[in-house]
Amino acid sequence: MMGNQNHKRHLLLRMQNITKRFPGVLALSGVYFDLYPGEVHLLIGENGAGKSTLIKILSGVYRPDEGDIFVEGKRVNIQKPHQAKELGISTIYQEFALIPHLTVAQNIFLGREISANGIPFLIDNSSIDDSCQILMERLKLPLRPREYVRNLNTAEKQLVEIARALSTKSKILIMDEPTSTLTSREIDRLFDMVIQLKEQGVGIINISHRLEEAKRIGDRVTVLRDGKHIDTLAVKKTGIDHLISLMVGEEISDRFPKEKTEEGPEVLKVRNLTKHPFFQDITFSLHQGEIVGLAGLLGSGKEKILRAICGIERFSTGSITVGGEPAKISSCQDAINCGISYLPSDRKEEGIILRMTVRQNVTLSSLKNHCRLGILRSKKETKVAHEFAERLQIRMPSIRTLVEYLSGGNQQKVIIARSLCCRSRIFFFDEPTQGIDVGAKVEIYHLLNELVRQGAAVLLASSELPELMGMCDRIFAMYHGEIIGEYNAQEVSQEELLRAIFGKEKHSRDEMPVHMHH
Amino acid sequence: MGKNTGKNSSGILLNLTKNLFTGMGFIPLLILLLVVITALNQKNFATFSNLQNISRQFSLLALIAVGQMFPILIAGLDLSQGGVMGAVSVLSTLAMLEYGVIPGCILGIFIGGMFGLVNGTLIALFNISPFVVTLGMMSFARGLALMITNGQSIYGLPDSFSYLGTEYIGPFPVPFIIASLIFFISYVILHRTRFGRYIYATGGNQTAARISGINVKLIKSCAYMYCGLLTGLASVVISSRVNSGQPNLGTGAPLEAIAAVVIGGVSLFGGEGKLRGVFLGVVVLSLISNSLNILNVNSYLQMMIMAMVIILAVIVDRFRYAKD
Repeated sequence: MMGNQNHKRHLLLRMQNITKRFPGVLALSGVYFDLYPGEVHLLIGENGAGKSTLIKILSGVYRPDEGDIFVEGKRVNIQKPHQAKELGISTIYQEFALIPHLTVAQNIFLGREISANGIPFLIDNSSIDDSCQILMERLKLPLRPREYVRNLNTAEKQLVEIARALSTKSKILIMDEPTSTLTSREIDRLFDMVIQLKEQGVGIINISHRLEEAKRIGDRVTVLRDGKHIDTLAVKKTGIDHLISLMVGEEISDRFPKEKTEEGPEVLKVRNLTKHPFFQDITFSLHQGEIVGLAGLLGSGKEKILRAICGIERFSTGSITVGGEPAKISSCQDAINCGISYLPSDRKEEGIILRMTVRQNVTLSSLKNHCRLGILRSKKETKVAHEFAERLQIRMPSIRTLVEYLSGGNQQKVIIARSLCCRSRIFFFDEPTQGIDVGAKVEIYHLLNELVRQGAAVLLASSELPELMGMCDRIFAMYHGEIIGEYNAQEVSQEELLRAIFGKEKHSRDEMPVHMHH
Repeated sequence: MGKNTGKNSSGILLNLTKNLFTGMGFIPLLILLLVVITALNQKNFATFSNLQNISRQFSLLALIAVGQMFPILIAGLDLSQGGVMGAVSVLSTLAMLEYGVIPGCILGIFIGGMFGLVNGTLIALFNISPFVVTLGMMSFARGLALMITNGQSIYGLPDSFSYLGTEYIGPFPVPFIIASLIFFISYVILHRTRFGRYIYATGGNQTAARISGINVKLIKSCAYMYCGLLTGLASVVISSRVNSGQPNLGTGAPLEAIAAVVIGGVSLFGGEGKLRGVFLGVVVLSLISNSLNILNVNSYLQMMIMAMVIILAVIVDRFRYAKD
């Protein structure tokens, strides 16, 4: 705030009327965003609100469909990432783009090495080290240029990323969730640096899920929701609760066609499941006919739990009981034999086999039933595949179409059909509606309803809270690898849930029964 | 503007090349061209005995190429084929001297399978590069063959052994009958059995296959084992043809096999490719090699030509399965 008083009249960055469409989705619609020199401008919003899209447009990863970008008053046309760099726009991503077997200095100067005596192709390592040392002193960073990146801890790697971003005289620095991997002391150090940068007149855009922390260094905050600019406020005058309510927006109606179902007996019981450092002491049960939600931020461990129970990854301690009997699950086959199916969030990477047909994908897990002595019975296989494709209303030219050519929603249905086909009774959905357009989402919700109506049990991990509140019976909130609360989906408010997954409302395990019996 | 048009024309060129090479379209053309050129130039090409010659060449390449197809379908490869052929040749002929022809042949095929199983198990269990494992195995097997024989060939085998490699059933050489049988069996495996389906699934998307409950490690081991079995069979047939045990058998085998498989349109990225493609690939390669022989092309030059054909095939593979 102090730094930007003198610069107030000269905007460093103005993004105006930015619109971006993806197939089936309006990611950004007429968004306005600006930035002053020496300012930290927070950008917040729920998943899918359009934060990353906006940032990617600014850094040249995407091109906007409409809208103008002005840097220091001049209209610019950013087509490629390197053009953004030339304009002095640097981005620090959450995932590190560092090469572990090179030193700090070599990483920072990667791609623009200093030649020895002007001879091209010969690298002058010592002058790279010297330049790096000067940079470190300028930024007051405690890093040694000759240290190998593989020896650094997460926070130090983050600092190297920051140093790299700043080594090219940046005017605008974009930080995409910079604190999500850091400890509190490391965060302090990062914030010290941010303050230094502000003094040097650098404008900083900070995307963060951790509102509490971000408030410490932020000057202004812009809230996005559903691709629209909701409000821009001075941070000091705004309470976190108000920000959360702005992020959440209006109430949800029948986007979620939840049906009431009879709750049956317990089909799955998980006790004290632990895998350090990903999750600890996870205990919950799942009943026939219910949809249970798992809410949590990225890194809360919710998908790790799903994957551990389904035999994809291992867990260290704990027990799993299926239908009252102890289950030993050490591989995906074990899980499938227990009637548990995992439906991955990344359909293309983990779910379907793109270059196989619908029929082949649907019967993949249950091929044993369509075989005699290892020889396929094509007619039976085709019949079964037809049956399930029809039941799930998979839209396709033919059952022999390659799954590659189906839409996202229909691909998801193919995976569900596969699980149904091998007679699963327990379905673990990991972000089932990610990257699916609104119409197909509702279809997936209808499928969830049908699954539980027919006596299945569903565990639904999602980072979209409205989806969880709309479709689930109960919701578990996860924070830092622990279940910190259980809520009745009908009664809980979105703010309450948000608070829980941000770690603001911590329940001890003793308090939980209170919530359990509503 | 100038930039734009340049981009467009190069795009069209790219598309043209893509279309030209995509699918099986160009293989029959290549065959036709070769046959016509050679037949026009050389009278002894289109003779019955040369046809039998080609079919024999075809059969031996077919065995190792069909074997090679299985590891390639699961996005691997088997470079050990040559060494394994040497080891099998030596061990099976030695066994033959002791226990008779049929036990020797069976043992040879079995040993080939064991080499494959070890390859596959190492690759699957420790999740290491098939390139390194099979390259190592190649050297190991060759070393074994040379050590046992001290580098010498094994002679004095029963006359009946040469039946496999040199005799005919009707007009067909025995190896041709064997190769046809192998094509049939492999077709059934790939397209009519669970194992075959799992191979395509594993090659197409290993993680998805695993999550679908497929024992990916087992499938991998079995694919390499099948390759080993066919390599063993090929070695026995060739040993029979030369009626001796040869520690140096099959030095160029894996390269030719991979070439045939890739020319046949099997993707080196795994999960895709048909047996009839491999059939055509084998036909093309054996025709090329026969034509070059008949045209009296220097054998060293032949090696170079073959190498170029192989590299071309891999480039085509890139075009065909390039992800946009």
